[in-house]
Amino acid sequence: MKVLNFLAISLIKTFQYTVGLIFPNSCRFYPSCSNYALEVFKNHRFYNAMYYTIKRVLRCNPFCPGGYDPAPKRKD
Amino acid sequence: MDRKSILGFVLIFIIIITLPFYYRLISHQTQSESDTTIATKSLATSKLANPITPFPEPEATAPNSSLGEPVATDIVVESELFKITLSTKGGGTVKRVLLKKYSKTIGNDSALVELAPASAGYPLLIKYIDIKGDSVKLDHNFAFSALSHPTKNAYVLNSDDSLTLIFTLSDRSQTLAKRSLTFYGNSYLVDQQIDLSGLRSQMASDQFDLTWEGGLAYTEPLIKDDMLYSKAHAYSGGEVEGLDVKAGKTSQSRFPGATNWTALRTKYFTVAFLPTQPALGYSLIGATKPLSGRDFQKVFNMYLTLPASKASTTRIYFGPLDYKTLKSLNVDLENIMNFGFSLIRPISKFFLWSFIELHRLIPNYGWVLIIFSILIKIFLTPLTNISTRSMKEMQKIQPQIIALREKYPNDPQKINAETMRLYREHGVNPMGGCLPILLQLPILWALFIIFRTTIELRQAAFIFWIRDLSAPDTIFTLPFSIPLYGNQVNVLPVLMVISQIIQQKISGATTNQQQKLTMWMMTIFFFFLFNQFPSGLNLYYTLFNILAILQQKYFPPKPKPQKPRKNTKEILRQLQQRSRRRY
Repeated sequence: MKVLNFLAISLIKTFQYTVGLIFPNSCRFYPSCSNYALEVFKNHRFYNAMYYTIKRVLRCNPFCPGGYDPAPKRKD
Repeated sequence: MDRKSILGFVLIFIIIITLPFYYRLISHQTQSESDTTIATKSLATSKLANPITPFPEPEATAPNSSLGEPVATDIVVESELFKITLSTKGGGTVKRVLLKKYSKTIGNDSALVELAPASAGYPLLIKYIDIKGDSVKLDHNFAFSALSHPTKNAYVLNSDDSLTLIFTLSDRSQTLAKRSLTFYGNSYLVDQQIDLSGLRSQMASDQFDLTWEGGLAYTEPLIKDDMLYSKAHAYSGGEVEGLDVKAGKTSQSRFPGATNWTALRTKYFTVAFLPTQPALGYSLIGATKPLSGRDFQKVFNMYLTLPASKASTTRIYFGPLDYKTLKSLNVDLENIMNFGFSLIRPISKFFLWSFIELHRLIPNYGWVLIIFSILIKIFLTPLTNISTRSMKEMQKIQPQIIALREKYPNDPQKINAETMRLYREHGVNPMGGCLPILLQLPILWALFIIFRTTIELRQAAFIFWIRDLSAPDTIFTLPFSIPLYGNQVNVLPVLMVISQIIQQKISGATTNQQQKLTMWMMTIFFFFLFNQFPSGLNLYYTLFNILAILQQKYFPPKPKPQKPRKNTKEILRQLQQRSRRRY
């Protein structure tokens, strides 16, 4: 699982430093979707993190008010 | 940006610059290693029908070397599309295939695209295993005649003409082998009928191989592109097998079952064997030949196993990888074209289709690109700019945001968080969201694929110095090569980077110093990376940036008066109050 998380994190970082720079900041949330995903992949198991990330990105559209939405804490 | 990240960037840069030298250092060792593996492999497989040696070699010629005509003659068949030189050796093997609609370099009609490499000799032959177990290549000189035409050495076909040439190899008493080739004036297809019934008593099994040995010639000035896209393919059981080969290595793929076709391709052209009935199997073999520098020629051999018991018909396609033409063959040969992975494929196909349709109206692909980028921009604008911004509300909270900045001058995170909270409370948000951006990515990716690989853009000129949209728009070449950048100085990448910097400035996306520095670093990196990309892609990218600048300057997202969202509880409360009043 750790390997998958590491892979996901490096993919997200690559995304931030390539695609993320071509397009201007456009996230309706704080923290931004990619930072949220990073946080989630650091603290949760892969499939849960996947779920949180997808849910967040789908919400990040013009029909959602957006706002402050921190990454969920791990329930241990 | 702090010291550590600067150090990191510098290190990455040094690695990128020095990597090629490192590869050159280690490549000598690996090459000698792989040479020995080839030798051992070919020893091990030399008894097989298709030994792994990639280059045609002298083989045991049988049935009887005194067979056939004494002298080989050449026959030239020419139409509007091609000029094919055949030899009576091997019963109509191909010596040269020139495609008349495509020239090697821009504006030079004398150097046409040639598919069969000169080094290949006679690539198109018939091979079988004889009763002694030896592999036999039919490279005798056949006798030839033309069906309902006089026997000549050169034929010119009009667009609706067809020509059938018949090659026969006979013993004193009987016909051993017979191959007929039918050419059509308006098609890249050649119909081929092979009848080996006279040789069956000498064959170990009821099958023979139709071969193409020696690979395809590279056609593009940018050898790296041809190197990247050259592959061998086979289609069986609804799946396309793709065989590639790395420098100094060999590779192979075999399948002893129903095969729909086999094909070799370069970046833009292909030669394919298309049997009318599924063939008995195939074998693909890849090897490489070093060219100058780190370039190499990929040499693929393909063998299609056909039944010898009955006369078999196999069409041969010599021509461009042009989607419409391949699709019209109705054998799924278009599957060897690059359209990206399955999710992107429909998008890139749609783009290609709209490119071709637009090109009918505007006969210059540069202008087509411009119109296309405007259309894409119009199409994407509602995605990115559905703004729920209400001007009044924004003005109302503006002083609060300023107050926040004064309150936490050293804590940008806190400012951001609080600003977002404010936006939410007031039901406004100036951002478009991440989902619309992510939806754009497949579109850009599909465009990238189209620009790089479709033959329609090959040598398509635009204006001024842009003479080929599928290649970099070089204005002069440096005497030395810069890693990643190459040795060509191109104009469009410079324009692209300038437009990107302006666009970033105007959009004001970056606020803090660290982000700004990173952005500069990335922009420079892109400049290096994009330098060798097709000028069409750089043109599109520049246009897209310019359009974004114009849009931000002259068409800012219109304020849409919208009431702040009330939460459901409040609405419920109001409804309850109303109902109380009523009763």
